[in-house]
Amino acid sequence: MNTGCLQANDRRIMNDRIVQLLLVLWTTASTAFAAPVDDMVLLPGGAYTPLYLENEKAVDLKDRSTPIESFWLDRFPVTNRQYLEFVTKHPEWKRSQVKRLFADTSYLQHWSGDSAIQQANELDSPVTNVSWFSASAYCESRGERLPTTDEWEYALADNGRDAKEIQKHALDWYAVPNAALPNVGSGSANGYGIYDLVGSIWEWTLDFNSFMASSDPRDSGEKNLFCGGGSLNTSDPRDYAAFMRYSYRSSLLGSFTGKSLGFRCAKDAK
Amino acid sequence: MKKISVGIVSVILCASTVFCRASTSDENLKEKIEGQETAVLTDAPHLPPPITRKHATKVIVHLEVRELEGRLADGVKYTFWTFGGKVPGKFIRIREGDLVEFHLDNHPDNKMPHNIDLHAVTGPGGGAASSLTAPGHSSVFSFKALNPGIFIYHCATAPVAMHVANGMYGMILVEPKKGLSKVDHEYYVMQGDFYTKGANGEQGLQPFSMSKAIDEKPEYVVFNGSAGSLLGENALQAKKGETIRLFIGNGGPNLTSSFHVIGEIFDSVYQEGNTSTAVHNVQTTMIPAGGAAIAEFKVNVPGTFILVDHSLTRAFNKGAIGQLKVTGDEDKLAYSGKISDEVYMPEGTGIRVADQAQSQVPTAKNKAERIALGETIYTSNCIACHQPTGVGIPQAFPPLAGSDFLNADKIRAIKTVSGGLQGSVTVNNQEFNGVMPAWNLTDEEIANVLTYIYNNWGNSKLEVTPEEVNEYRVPPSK
Repeated sequence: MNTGCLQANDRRIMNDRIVQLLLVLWTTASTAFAAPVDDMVLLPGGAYTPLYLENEKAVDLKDRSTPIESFWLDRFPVTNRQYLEFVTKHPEWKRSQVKRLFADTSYLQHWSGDSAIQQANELDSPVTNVSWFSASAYCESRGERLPTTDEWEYALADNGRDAKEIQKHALDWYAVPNAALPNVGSGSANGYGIYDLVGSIWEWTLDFNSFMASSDPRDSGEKNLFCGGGSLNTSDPRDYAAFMRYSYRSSLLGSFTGKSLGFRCAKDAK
Repeated sequence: MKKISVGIVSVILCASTVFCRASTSDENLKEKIEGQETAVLTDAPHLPPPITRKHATKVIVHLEVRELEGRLADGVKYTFWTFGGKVPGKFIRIREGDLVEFHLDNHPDNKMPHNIDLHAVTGPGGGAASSLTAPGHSSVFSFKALNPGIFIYHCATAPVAMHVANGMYGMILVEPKKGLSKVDHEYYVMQGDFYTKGANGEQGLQPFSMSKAIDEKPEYVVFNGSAGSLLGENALQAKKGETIRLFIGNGGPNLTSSFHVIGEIFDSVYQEGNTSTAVHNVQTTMIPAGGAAIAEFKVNVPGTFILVDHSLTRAFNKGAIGQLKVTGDEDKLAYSGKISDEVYMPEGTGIRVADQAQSQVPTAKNKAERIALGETIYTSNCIACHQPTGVGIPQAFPPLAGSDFLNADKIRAIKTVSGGLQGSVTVNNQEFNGVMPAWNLTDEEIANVLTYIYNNWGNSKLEVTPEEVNEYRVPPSK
């Protein structure tokens, strides 16, 4: 298997050769250029301590450690190129045909048409403006699924490697206004060989809205994990970057799309 | 009918007496809504116009959240998260009893989810529980303004402190039914603390420092979103004799402001943002993080008045400084300006103890000895100012050589050496306005030094005796 770094460079070089700008209809021939559909990383099982516990697990505060089964996770976020291929095969997910129930009016709004991307240099940047429903459908089309929030956060936690750097990277991303998205793999891989978990886009998770982060995080009401400014009973009230991810997820509904909201897929190890 | 007449009576009483009773929140909840309007929103330091309506209405507020890069200080940029594009956020002005339909619009270019907690709202989260909004979406909720006052609003999305530290605060005024008194100027000033990764003054785009925020150690403390936002061309303006009402809020997230205007006394301060009870003649008023106050004063004297957080390193090192420029003619009675500047000589301590040449002071037996001994005293005590040849220093120290002032009056000379001299004197047609200290010298020493001076440099060759000194001198201290 190639390293992710080489993959990214290869794809950038190939990207330069692509001259079609408008109405690029991707056929099976294009898969030769795209990142392999199954470029996934097998993460070993383990345990991590989530910032918030899932509702049904929010009983025993003493042991927050959450076991994670081994699972596969995409090395990169799903790209515009990959998503274009998907809607070509599954026209019900084209911008003009998607059901409003499954994606709001901003769905794929950065594309120039139903099956076209305005800028060729966006082909290998992460696809955004996708809903949870559409992201789930994409992963299903590959026989996969979205990662759970615990899996996603476990991958980011990277077995405790460079925790401060990860946090700083995320906070620094918040500190600059939205700009054009870089190609996937532009940053460096974490210890598992996974790219771009923070610093480029937000990502959908399977259970994005099942956590304790309420719409008012200072809620001290019936949800007994929340009081005192929404920070007590979290595992690390100093981790602002993590708060931001949970807040972001809890602001979403399944049909929402966002300019900086994309996804990657996962699947069980067995 | 009966109800109406009671109402009229209370209005009449209200105009002049203490019988004026504010509405309760229950009454405000029940007050009928008539008509509908869209709120006029303004950027600091300006306010929307006063409300003249005599009834409650439905007010529609559209507040758009924008995350954008802006100036924090000279050469220092920061990505602000704003309610309406600037820090502080748009000023909202409504009336007690109004029904507000609030639209929180989160711009699609934003990265973050946001919500709003208005301290003017009675309800869970002050609206925050109903307004968490993803980028590219808009939330709507409504509330009835049950309590009058000046309130702040802020974002309350986790981590709350970071959203607020990035500038997500503003103010909403709920005018009491009877309105506020008429003033010439109303201004909107809001303090906030900022936590940048780089130290104060470090140039370029500065990211937020989580650790400095948690430690409550801001690099910047500013009024209206940036250092210098109320300085120079952007200073608040008024004319002499006008009345000013400041709405001062503090977004924090952490520091309490000791708000003060240098050179002014607030005639009235409505503390804690209330609109019913003022305290008078206030120098400095405390504005807590997440709180506000109204300060009213008349400007009687022209000049530049400085707004500060009187926790002074914030003002002088971190940016919490603004200006109010008052134009008009000077009123010397109210304030004179500088009348004079003189050297201060505390009683007693200003007397110079002359250097003692020897412990055993010799006594002169004749004029020649007197001149010789006087030279030693002159060299020790007088030469630095009056110079070796007695020419003095133009504009500073008068000449002794050929001095009309000296030669005109021996007694005055004795008094000058023994008692000092201060103020304007004319010597050889030159004016001098300085100070000569009193010299702690004996009668013999003064006689000798004056005789030395009188017998040199073209002077009148008089002799001064210890007996004369004793008769005319200013007595030594102690």
